[in-house]
Amino acid sequence: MKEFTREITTFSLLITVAALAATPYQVIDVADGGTIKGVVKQAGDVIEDELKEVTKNSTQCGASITAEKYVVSAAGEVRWAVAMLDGIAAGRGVDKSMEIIIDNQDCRFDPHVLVAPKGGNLQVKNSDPMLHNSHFYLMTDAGKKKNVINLALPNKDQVIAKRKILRKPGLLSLVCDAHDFMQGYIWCLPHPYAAVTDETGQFELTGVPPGDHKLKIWHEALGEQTVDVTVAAGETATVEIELTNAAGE
Amino acid sequence: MTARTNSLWLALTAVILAASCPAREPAPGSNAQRGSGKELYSKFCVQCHGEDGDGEGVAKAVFQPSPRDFTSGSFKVRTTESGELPTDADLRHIIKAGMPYTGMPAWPALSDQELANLVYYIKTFNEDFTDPDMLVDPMEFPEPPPYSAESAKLGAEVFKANQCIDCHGAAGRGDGESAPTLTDDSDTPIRPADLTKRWTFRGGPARHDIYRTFTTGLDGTPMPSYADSIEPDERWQLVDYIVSLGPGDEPDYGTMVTAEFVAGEIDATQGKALFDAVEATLFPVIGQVIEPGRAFAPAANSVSVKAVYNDSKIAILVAWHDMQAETDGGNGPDLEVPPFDPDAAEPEGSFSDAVAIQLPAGAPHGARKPYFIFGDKKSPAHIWFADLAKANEAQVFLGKGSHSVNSTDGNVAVSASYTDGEWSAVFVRELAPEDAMPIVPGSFAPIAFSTWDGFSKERGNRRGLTSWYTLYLKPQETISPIGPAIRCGIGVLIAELLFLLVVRARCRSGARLSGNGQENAGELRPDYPHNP
Repeated sequence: MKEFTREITTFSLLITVAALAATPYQVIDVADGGTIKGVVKQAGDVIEDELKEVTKNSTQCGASITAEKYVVSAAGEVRWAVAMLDGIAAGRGVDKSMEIIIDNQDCRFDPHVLVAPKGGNLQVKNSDPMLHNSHFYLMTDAGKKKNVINLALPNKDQVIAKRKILRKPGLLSLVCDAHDFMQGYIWCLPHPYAAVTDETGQFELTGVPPGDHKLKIWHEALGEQTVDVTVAAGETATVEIELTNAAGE
Repeated sequence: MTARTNSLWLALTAVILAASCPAREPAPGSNAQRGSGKELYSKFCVQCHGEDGDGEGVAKAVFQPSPRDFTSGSFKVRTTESGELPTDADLRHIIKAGMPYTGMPAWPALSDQELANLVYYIKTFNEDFTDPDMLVDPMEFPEPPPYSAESAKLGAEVFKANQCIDCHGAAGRGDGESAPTLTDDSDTPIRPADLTKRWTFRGGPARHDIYRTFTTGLDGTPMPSYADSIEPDERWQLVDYIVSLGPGDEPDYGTMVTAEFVAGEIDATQGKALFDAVEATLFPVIGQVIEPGRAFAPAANSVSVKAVYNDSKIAILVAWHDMQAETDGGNGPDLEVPPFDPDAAEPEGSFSDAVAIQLPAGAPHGARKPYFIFGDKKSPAHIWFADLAKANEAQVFLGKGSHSVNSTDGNVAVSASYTDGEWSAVFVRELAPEDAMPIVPGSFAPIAFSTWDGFSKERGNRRGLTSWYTLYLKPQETISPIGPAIRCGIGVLIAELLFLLVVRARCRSGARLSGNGQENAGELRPDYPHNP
């Protein structure tokens, strides 16, 4: 009995410590929130996007697709980068009921990159008239791929809703084993302060609690960069971030 | 720690647990149980799965698929949804049953308690096993309805509609369009299951095993879950269709291929049609793991063989399943392969698929056969080799051991074709050429086979092979025992009649000499009573 009690205690202790270590995001009323507006650019010569050969179902998807890996304007503005506040402990709430759709269309994931709240209402769709499988991996700090779910979508216009895909925060890599040239990304975060850059490299985060924040910019090929941003109540802070290709291309 | 703090912790835990609505509570086992599990692990598991449970054991390099990385939390065979942790029962089951055609053996000798303890220890490699949020209830699995041919027929439609063909191929041989591009969680190439060989299924060959795989998917592999896509009744139809694709739960391996006599012409170009009326024998293919260039996981796992002969020639059909026909580049039994090195880069260039039949080069020395790996000095082997980049060209090699395989004269013809994930190669040779061992009707000859898969860079001694099996040429006219039996019977009858004649003749002459033969006979045998 004594041993049993000790086991239970140790176990409870472990769980409690784990729970306390991962302090959950707190939802607070942000009445006088500020805005962070910014643009993400690529340093050096503009890199051209890669073309991926469509090795299967090319009647539907064409001979090749663009990888959407380097969608960079002539001015160097980078699309499909994600701007997010890193380590923010409290702020406005997230709408977990909003449908977030990731579609398989013409052998690409649409959108190529998206941000989604932890526990959000993710819907996986197939608009193509053939089998796709949506295989989600959570990327670990050690650089390993951790299997999250692998859904078969054999039917056109089929939608599978799975909140559990967004059960743990982090970067999710999305692939289709049936079409190995397909690749998408989802940033799953416990807070609403994240946005994907548009064609002009722009992003905007609203309702940010006034104060000092760490703004992290992530891009699948150009890497990551974190900058300090100070947001004043009701004001807009502007930032311009220049990413250097990690590969030095 | 006092009882009071204890109860405080317990209460706190209860609150946390209740708040997160766990479907299953973590069951980490006791210290003693995990300790005992660790001992078992260090004894039996660590060699492959590694000290840290990350699948990086010393033996990892020789396995395809790689040993499971327990830190990943991904497990192929589960009763839980795609991406979920397995139940303890799932883990115990797979340890006990093993995984067919992988490096994972079955452990039937472990007791239930030992299995439980091992599982407690294995779960320590991934912290999610202690997180109530990450533990879900197993899915519901209905009792299997009985198998029916009708259901299997409907299953063929389900197979098509769900595009299982994409990976598993039209005939289910694992040769789908996507097959060569598939990789596992660690980006290592992985092959789709050959649905015609249920005994190779990782999760088991039974109908409920197959149903479970459709439902849960095989985590860590490209096999997705169809739980949200195929209704349960259709899943059972699909199960029955897959069951209908193969011969059974177990492979029907044989040891002898019987060549039947055919009256007509034999020509390699006639192809498979030559063998329509002949039974096939399935021989297991294993990796060549003795000589340098070892193949620990050859692509082929069996060859199906048929043979026919006529007055002058023999034709042997060798068929095996291959994910993709590699007809670029070249191949040969004499190609150099460096010693096995898991870290060495694969060679540049492409290698074609290839196949060979091996026979003793000359008459055997008593019961001694040539060494099964390309013969030996005393008993060389003939290797009929077909590089499938040149599908209608055979070469003959003389093997006096792995370091002495040389092209030699020999008149062997071949014709090969690839359809729906299966290679078929028809070899034809004279029964009794001057420069090779004669193949004689009514007698037995040693025969062995090799396959090379270009996709896996198999070449030279890096190949799949069989040990020696037997080729038997069933004689054209079977001698009926009735004729000789009748002849023998008549002979015996004549001999008996002759004997009777002689005896009677002698009796008569004896009776004449003694007058009354009947009385004399009575006196001579006084002890015997007279018959009334």
